[in-house]
This record gives sequence, structure tokens and C-alpha cells, in this order.
Amino acid sequence: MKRSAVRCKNLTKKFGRNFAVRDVNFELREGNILALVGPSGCGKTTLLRLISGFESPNEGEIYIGGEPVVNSKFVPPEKREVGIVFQNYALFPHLNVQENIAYGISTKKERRNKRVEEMLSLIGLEDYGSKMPHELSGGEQQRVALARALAPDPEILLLDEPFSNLDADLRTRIRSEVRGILKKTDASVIFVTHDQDEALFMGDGVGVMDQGRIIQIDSPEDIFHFPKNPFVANFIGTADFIQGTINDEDTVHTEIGDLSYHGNLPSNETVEVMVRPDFMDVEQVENGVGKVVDRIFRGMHYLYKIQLPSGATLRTLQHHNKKYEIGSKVTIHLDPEHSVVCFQDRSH
Amino acid sequence: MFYLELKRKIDRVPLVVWVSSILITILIAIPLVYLTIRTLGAGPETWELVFRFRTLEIAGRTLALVITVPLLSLGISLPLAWLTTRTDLPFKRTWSVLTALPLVIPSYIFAYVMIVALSPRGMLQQALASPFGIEQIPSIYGFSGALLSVTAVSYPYLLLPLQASLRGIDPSLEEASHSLGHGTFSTFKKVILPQLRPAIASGSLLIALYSLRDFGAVSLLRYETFTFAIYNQYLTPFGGRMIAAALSMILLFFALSLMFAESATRSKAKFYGSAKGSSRKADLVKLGRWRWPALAFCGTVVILFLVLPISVLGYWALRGISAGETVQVVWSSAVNSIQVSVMAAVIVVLAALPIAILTSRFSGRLSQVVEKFTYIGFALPGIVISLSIVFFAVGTFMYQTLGLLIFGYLILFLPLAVGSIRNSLLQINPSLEEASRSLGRTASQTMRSITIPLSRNGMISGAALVFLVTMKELQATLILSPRNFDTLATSIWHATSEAFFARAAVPALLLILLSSIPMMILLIFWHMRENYEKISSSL
Repeated sequence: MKRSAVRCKNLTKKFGRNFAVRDVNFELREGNILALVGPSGCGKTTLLRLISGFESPNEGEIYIGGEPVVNSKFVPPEKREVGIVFQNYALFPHLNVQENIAYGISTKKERRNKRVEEMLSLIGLEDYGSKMPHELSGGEQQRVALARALAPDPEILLLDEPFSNLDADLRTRIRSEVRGILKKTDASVIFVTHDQDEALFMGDGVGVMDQGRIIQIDSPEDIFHFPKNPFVANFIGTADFIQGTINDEDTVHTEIGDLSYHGNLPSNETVEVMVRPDFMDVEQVENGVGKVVDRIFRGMHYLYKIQLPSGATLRTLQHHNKKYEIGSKVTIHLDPEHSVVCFQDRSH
Repeated sequence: MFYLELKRKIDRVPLVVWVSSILITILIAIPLVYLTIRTLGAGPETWELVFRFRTLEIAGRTLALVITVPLLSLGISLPLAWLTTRTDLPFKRTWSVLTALPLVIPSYIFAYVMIVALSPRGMLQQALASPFGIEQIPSIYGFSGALLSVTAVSYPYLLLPLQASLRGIDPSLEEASHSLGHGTFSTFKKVILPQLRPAIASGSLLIALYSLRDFGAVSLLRYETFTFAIYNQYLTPFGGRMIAAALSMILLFFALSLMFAESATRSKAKFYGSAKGSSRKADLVKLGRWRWPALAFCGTVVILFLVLPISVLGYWALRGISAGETVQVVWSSAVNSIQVSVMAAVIVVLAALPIAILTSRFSGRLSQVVEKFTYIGFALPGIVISLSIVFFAVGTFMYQTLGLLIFGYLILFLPLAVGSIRNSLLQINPSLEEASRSLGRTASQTMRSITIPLSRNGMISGAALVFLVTMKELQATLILSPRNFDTLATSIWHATSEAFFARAAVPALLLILLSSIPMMILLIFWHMRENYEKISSSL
């Protein structure tokens, strides 16, 4: 098993009477990327600031590379070996690219220069050493900020919404470049974002935060397919919920039929069944169970909103050749092999 | 962009910053200590004297000036600022520089020019006498003369912030207003003017405080306000200094009320925080036929406040030189002026640096207390500050040394330098300092390698500002200078107060010329900062 890069134990931070971070526990192993995702104000940035040492926790412990940094005495930021890539990059405007990257390297001059060159070639900006930060494009500034944070070979690298200042089309390109660089250097990374796509793309593991707590940490696939609660289901991907009752034979009974279920909720339990827009097929029929109430054209697909007799609505993606008018009746088929996720009914 | 709200609490204030801030704060608190001692020591007979004295009259006169000067300045500055930033006025850049330049003219020089030009037997009367037989023109002594001279030399304190705010307004707000059916005038009134409120409030405060503290113009024009009365009492033996201190207390109360009123409007004005990302330039208003009255307005201001004073000075200088005035004395006082101004600029900026860092980078009680104390120089006139320094220094080796004079300048001008360094520090995103910490540098190493280099522009403009105001300074220089140490300001004062007008003209011209150099540096820096903001907001 790989060494622990960072570990948080019962970490709590309050601002006044509000909990910014509440009883957080997790461990990140060396060479892994953890993507923390959550709505704004969920505490993810505060968690980064606690790890980097710019805030001190009210309770709990933090270990970086196995060493405690807050439990008995407070280790200041400059002694923690934590690299940070800031949302606004925070490149020093009075230093050129080379000097920015060299800023955190404490070795002798020749080795420092060599390291700077290594970093420049790592980010593919070999000829940019003597440029000033304001002469660089947003994407280039981003990569320099990354190189500067990686140059001292930190125990852990923290990235705080690093792509939010980039244009949408640039963002997808840069993020795969950044992921490539991070994997090449085998860095241990905590990456914070509010964008679920980014989290699923960047993370070896994804953690979902809400109101200061980490609700769930799992692989990107598991967090998408097996969310722990409706909040996670809603935040990662799109989800609708319909009421159902657990049957005896690994199925759950709903108004759109009996669906396959392999969870461990007891029989006869009233549950909420999670349905994702890509789970189902709909066909127009005379007396179908659902009624089309809205249709949005998405290029390759139509996104339909379908109302069920109980009043609940489901969203579904259909191929663009399936065009149904609003008001038409449809039947709904779910893949019988596809096991659904159920949660205990919140209204009970 | 400002980052004040991001002050961090986790860092301990570096020891150097902490110790030097406290030391400087104690030193600049001396005038308050003096006033307290004097007030506590004053017996009932002093207070009786103060009440019997023409205090109410003096207060009324002072208040009249404090109210009318900002109003007249606003009337001049608002149209000027709008014309030079938002319209297609020809030669806009030239007008902006020329209309800001009266800032380099000290009030006593403007008052002196008015006396020689407009007084009952002055140049205008004599010019009118022979062709028209006019024997009398309205007197410029008293309120109207004081109002005009103080306004002439202080209205740029409103003009400059108004121009900056007008340039900073997001053009889409105006476009939105136009699209909703409002014309140019209605848009100005309903959309632009409300956003100028903070600039109007802070500029008016500066001008009101300037009127409260002015000494040169009011005394030459024999308009007795607090400063003039305090000076006269200071020169009066037997109890005069007691009354001077009591009057100073009242003046301090006036100043604090003004500052309090301004901070009350500022907290309300927070809504209007300057819009960010306004990298786009606003469309300029086409003046059309209105171009001519606009040009006439700008021209009148420049002629009245810049061209006329300098021409009158030039005329008297030539008259003086041809009458055999020696220029020799002027050189030595010019050298003295430059010497003390350079010393003041360096020392005040060095003292301001730790205070600016403390008050912009660290929150907490110490930071708040220090911040309040730096404003002493804004609240008290040079005369009161000098009296308190003399009170403590008389009889010691410091008395009548250059060191004491520079110390007086330090108390007076510290707020200017702190303000200008703080502004440049507040433009620095604290994440730069955090980046430095995360890369292994301690708090004090970060201060040396990031914070101080990045505040360089603030230090340079602070130094230029202090140089400029020290060149012009009169009251403290009169009282604190070593014996026989004449600067340009004091030689002008001595010549004009003894009505040797020709003798005052050459040093006055030289003073204006020398003060224009730092003024140019300041204008270039302000211009550069705007460009820098444009660059960074387009990134």
C-alpha cells in the first residue's frame, strides 16, 4: 500500500457560530488525485486552507506525509510542503516566469536552474522563462502556476478551482493537459471544484461535500452509479425520484413497473427510486402511462419531461429522431438488467 | 480592485512592523498629549477668557469657509471632470493636466497674487483708473478673497477622484439607462451621480479639512479663522498660548466632526463599490455646439487659476529684478526647500511603510488604533502641531534643529504617504502572499520579497506627494525652522507680509516650478495605474 500523503481526522472549523468544515475524515494516498466537489459555500475552500495552514481548525488533526501539522503544535504554511495553485494563479507580477518557478526552490543555484528548466519543459513553455506574467495567456499563466507549485516537490498539491477563470472551450483542453502533467509527476493532489464534470474527469477519487461535511468519497464510477443519498445523486449527474415499494424478489414496485433492485432495504419499505435521464426508453402509444409536458432540443438529443399519473415528473434523453409533441402519451421502458438505486423515503 | 475584506487573522504581525508602528504612533500622538495637558492645566480663568474672546465670531468665519469652499470646488470640478473624461471635448488630456496643476500653488501665493492684482490700489484698479477714472473696486480682503484663494488651490482634491471614478464606471450601466429611455442629462443625474457619491464625499472632506487648516491665504487676506487666531495668540505674551491651545481644542473638535460625517456617508456608499471588469471604454458624449461653452469654461478655469497667477508673478519678478532685487538669497532658500523636502519625503515614506502594511494586511485592535492615529495630520493644522512640538522640545538639544522640523512634517504628512502606500497594497491580492508562504517563505521573508517590492509605486507616489506638500508648507516651517533657516515658503511669507511684493515674486515662481516636478510624476503614475488596471482586467 502506498504512503499516506494527507490525512484529516475529525476536522472541524467554525466561523463564529457557523460550521465551515464539520467532522471531516479522509485519507489521500501518494500519487492519487482527490476531486472535492460541492456547491459554493460547502466548505471545500476552507478545507484546503486548513490543510495549507492559512486557517487553524477548532478541532481535529491533520497529517501531511504522516507528520502531524496541527495537533500538538501548529506548523506554519511555509513548513508544510504544500503546493497551491490559486484560482487567480497568484503569479508574482514583478518576477518573470523563471523567477516565479524558482521562488520556492531552496537548493543551490545550478540545481535550481536545472529544476526550473525541467519544470518549463514539463509544462511545454521552454522559451517562456524570461517573459513576465502579464505577457502570458490565461492557459499559460495556469501552467506556470502549476510548475511553480510543483517545483519544490511538495508532499501534496492543492488546486482551488483552477479552471474557473478560463473560457469553456479552453477549459476542457487545459484540464486534460493538467491531468497529464500531474500524472507524469506522480503528484498527490486535492482538487477543488464546483463543476461535477471536472470532478469526474480529474479525480481518481471524488468527494462530495455539503454544509461542511464530506458526504461520500468514492471512485468516479461508483459515486455516479451508487450515490449515498439524494443530494449526491442530484449533484453528480441529473436525477429524478419516483416513489416505490420494495418487493420480495429483488425488485421495486413503481408506477412505471417493477424495476430491478439489489440493495438491502427491507421488503414493503416505501422508497424513493432514483431515475437518470439515460436509463429509459419511451415510445408514443395511445394510452401510455406518461404524458410529455416539455421538450428541449439539445442537438443530438431531445430532453423530454414526462409527467406520471402521481404527478411526479421524469426527465429522459431520447435520440433526435424520436420527436414527440407536447401532450402526447408515452410508455416508459427501463432496462430490466439495470439495477436501480433506492433511498428511504424522506417524507416519512 | 480592492482586497480589504480578505485581511487574514492567522499571521502574527512581523516584529519589525509591530515595533516601528507602535513607536511612530506614540511619536505622532504628541499633539494630542500637548492639547490634553494644556486643557487640563487651564484654570477657569482661561476658559472665561476663551468665552469672552471673539471665539464665536472666529468659529462662524471658519465654518463659512469650510462650507463654501467645498461647494464652490464641486461646482468647478464636477463639470471639469465630466468634460475631460466622458465627452469628445478637444484637447482633453491637456485640459486634465492644466486643471490639476493649481494643486502646486500654495494658498498664500494665490492670496498674494490677488492682493497685488485686485486690492484697492492694485494692478486692476490702476489699469482702470486712468481710462475710466475708477477710484474704487470691491475689496478682496475678507471672506470673498479667502473663498476664492482657498478654492483655487484645493479644488483639484475633488477633481482628481471624480475623474478616476468617472473612468471606472461600467459603461453598460449608462447604456442600460439610455436603452430604458433616459437622455444624457437624466442618465447623469440618476445613474452616474449616485456612483460619484463616495468620491464627492471624500474629496469634499479633504477640501473642508484644507480650508479648516489653511493659514497662509486667510492671514494675508485678513480673514480671521481659527488658524490665524491661534497664530496671533501664540505670538501674544502672557496667557496667549493658553488661549491658543483652547482654540486648537475647538478646531480639533471641528475636524473630528467633519471626519465622522464623512465616514458616515462612506458606510452608506458601500453599495456603489466600483464595478469590476469594465475594460470596455464608454462611448463619448458628442458635445456638438456645446463644445464652445465647454471650452470657454475650461479656459476660464485655467486662465483664472493658473495663467493669471503665473503672469502676475512674472510681471512682478521682472519689475523686481529691474529694480535691483537680489536673486542671490533666493538660491539659498531654494536649496533649503529642496533639502528639507527630500528629507521629509524619504523619512515620511519610510515611517509610513510599516503602518501601511500593518493597517492593510493585518486586522485586530492594534491595527485599528494605529490607523486612527495616523489621521492626526489631517485633523490638525501645522500651527497646532508645531506648537505642541515646541512645547516638548524647548530647552532640549532638539529645539531649532532640522530634525525637529522634519518631525513636524512627519506628523503633518504621514496620512498622505500611508494612504498612497495602502492603496497600492490593497491592489495586491493576498493570495500572492499566501503563494509565497506555501512556497516555503516565512511571513517576514514574504514581506521583503513580495509585499514591499509590489508597493513600490505607492512609495514613489507617496514620496512625490510629500515632497510637493513640504515645498508648500508654511506654518510648521515658520515655527520649527532653525534660526536664519529660510525656505522658499518662508521667504515668500516674510516678503508678502511686509508688502515687499516684488521680492516675493521670484521665490514664488521658483516654488511653483519646483513643485511641478513631483506633480508631473504623480500625474504620470495615476495615469499608469489606470492603464495597469485596464491590462489586468482584460486578462
